[in-house]
Amino acid sequence: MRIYHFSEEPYPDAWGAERPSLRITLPNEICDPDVAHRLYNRYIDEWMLADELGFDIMLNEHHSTATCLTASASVILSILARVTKRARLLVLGVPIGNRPDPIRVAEEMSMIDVISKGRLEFGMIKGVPYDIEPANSNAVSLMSRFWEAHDLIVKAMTTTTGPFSFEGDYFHYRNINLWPRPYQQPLPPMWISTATPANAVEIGQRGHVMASFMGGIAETVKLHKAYAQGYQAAGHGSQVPVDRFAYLAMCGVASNEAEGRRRCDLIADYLRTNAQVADPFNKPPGYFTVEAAMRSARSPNPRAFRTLMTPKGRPVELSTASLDDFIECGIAFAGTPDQVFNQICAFTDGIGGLGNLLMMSQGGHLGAEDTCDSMRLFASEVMPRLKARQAQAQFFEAA
Amino acid sequence: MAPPITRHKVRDLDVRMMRAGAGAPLLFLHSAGGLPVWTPFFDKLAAQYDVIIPEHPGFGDTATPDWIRNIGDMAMYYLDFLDGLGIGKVHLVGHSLGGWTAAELATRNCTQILDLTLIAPAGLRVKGAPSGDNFIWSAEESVRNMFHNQKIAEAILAMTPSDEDNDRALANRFMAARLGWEPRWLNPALARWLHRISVPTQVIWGANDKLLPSVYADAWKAGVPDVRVEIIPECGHAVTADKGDACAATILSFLARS
Repeated sequence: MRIYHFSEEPYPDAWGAERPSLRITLPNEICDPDVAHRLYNRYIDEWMLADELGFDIMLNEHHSTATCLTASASVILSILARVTKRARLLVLGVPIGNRPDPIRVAEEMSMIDVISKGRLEFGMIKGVPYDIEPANSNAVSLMSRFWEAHDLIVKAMTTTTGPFSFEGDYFHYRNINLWPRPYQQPLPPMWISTATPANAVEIGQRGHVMASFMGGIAETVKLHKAYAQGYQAAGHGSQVPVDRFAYLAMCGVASNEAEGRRRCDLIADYLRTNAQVADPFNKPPGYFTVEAAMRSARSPNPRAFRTLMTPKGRPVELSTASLDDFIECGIAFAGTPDQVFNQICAFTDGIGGLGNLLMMSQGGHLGAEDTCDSMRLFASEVMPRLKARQAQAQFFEAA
Repeated sequence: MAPPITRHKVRDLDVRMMRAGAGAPLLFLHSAGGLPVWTPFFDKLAAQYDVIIPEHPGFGDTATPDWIRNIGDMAMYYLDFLDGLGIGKVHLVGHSLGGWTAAELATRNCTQILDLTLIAPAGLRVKGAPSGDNFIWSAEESVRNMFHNQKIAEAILAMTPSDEDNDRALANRFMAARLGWEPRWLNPALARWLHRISVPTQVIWGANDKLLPSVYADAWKAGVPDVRVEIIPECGHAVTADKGDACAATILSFLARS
């Protein structure tokens, strides 16, 4: 099992329940460049510590928001490619359907792969609804643009015989010839995140790593089964290796239970504020198909986007959920090293095996000292046991 | 009274439309709000003309063909539509998105139209006077900002739409975004070709339009060769509802000019 340390690089000084929105409309005069400077360098230090402790590294990007200072994952990845020594560098991901120039994405990712000597894990995402407006992108046709950009990027990164041209519905290029080509040949590992079984089938067909975020056991198993269906249909093999699956959860550890829970509770402010955005930006027309939007409008709980469902079917409002709600939903692991180990084992057994645990071990209001202590404890007490255990189960087995 | 829904086929597309009245044909292209409610405004037009209101592709219950992806496709589609209808030259009237479509059509080919009436058309911009953003307005703002007469807005807000109404509104919003999301409600190239409009044109605007400010009428006046502009006072973007009588009278007097 690979264990990734993830932070969104939050700017929590600007958070407040009284603010109607932390995204898009929050004036950037609130962003103090000195504070941002300290935060960027603090988070980079934490990723460097992760590298030393045996974690791999994950980052993402969002735009026009106090929830995530990583406006360009390429910038942070470039730094980490140079200052870290061994960790895999996962971007999850690049919103390729929102990018006007996929070849520029391919160039940046190839450079990062070469600078890091082949440590890039290249994740591609659809992007959240509220990143449509900052990207100046049209949500209509987003997924068909996404797949065309995907195909173009893969072709650009794997073509070694000189220039080729590309004629798509959305992108048209002459003389594509990537310098440098990626370090990892023929292609760095490709990842795609999803929350829908339909997309999971498509990702399985391509054999990429599929990541899902904070869905809990039931939803995650649905996605993994759908992936397996696509994977097997495309002839990749009768069994799916668990390294094709990744799951993101929050994690706080300490030497005593109360402290571990306190840390995770501070991280969970990430989720509580996640949907704090002026409502129209949550629903750009076209982000969901007309049919899906119609189904959602007729559902008894149309605000499902901000709501979690516990395994027992109890709805939980994200903005007010307790740590126990999050633990019950399988999206937070918290407590002592033993407790966290047991929670993770119960979860991974429940979903039939997991190759990549994406761990939000910094998030929300969790400070640097707590973050580093939590990571150290996890690395010394939990990680070795998880890695030893994982060696026994290599293939996905749905219960 | 609203006429029954009829059908018309354009290539592989089955189009819903309303048709009423007798006289010279008048083709009305609706706004991004979808196939309009039949109001006294339309009765007034139908008293003198054969009024034809097709539902745009992708709107309401009319399917989205893969061959309509942008406003240029819409303009060419309506040229096909007119060919297929086989009723000779029409008075072409369009509101907002429909006005934009009508203008795009007219810059391409005026042989099938007698004249052009653009009611608060989208399609152009005036630098320094940004349009409102009906994609980002809340549901309530989107209704209120359409009307100067807030009583109309309140009546609409007081209604409980059916599931079918909601479905049609979602389809309308989706197709509107396909055509007008980016750049928002305009074609930067259109202003360069307005001189191609070779028929008499009338531009009608509500003085209090919160979506497309009435100053946009100046840009149309500057570009279209044979044009007259009428600004209706105390009137918002939904001109045909906000000031239906005045709008109908303005159209009828223009159509009767010759």
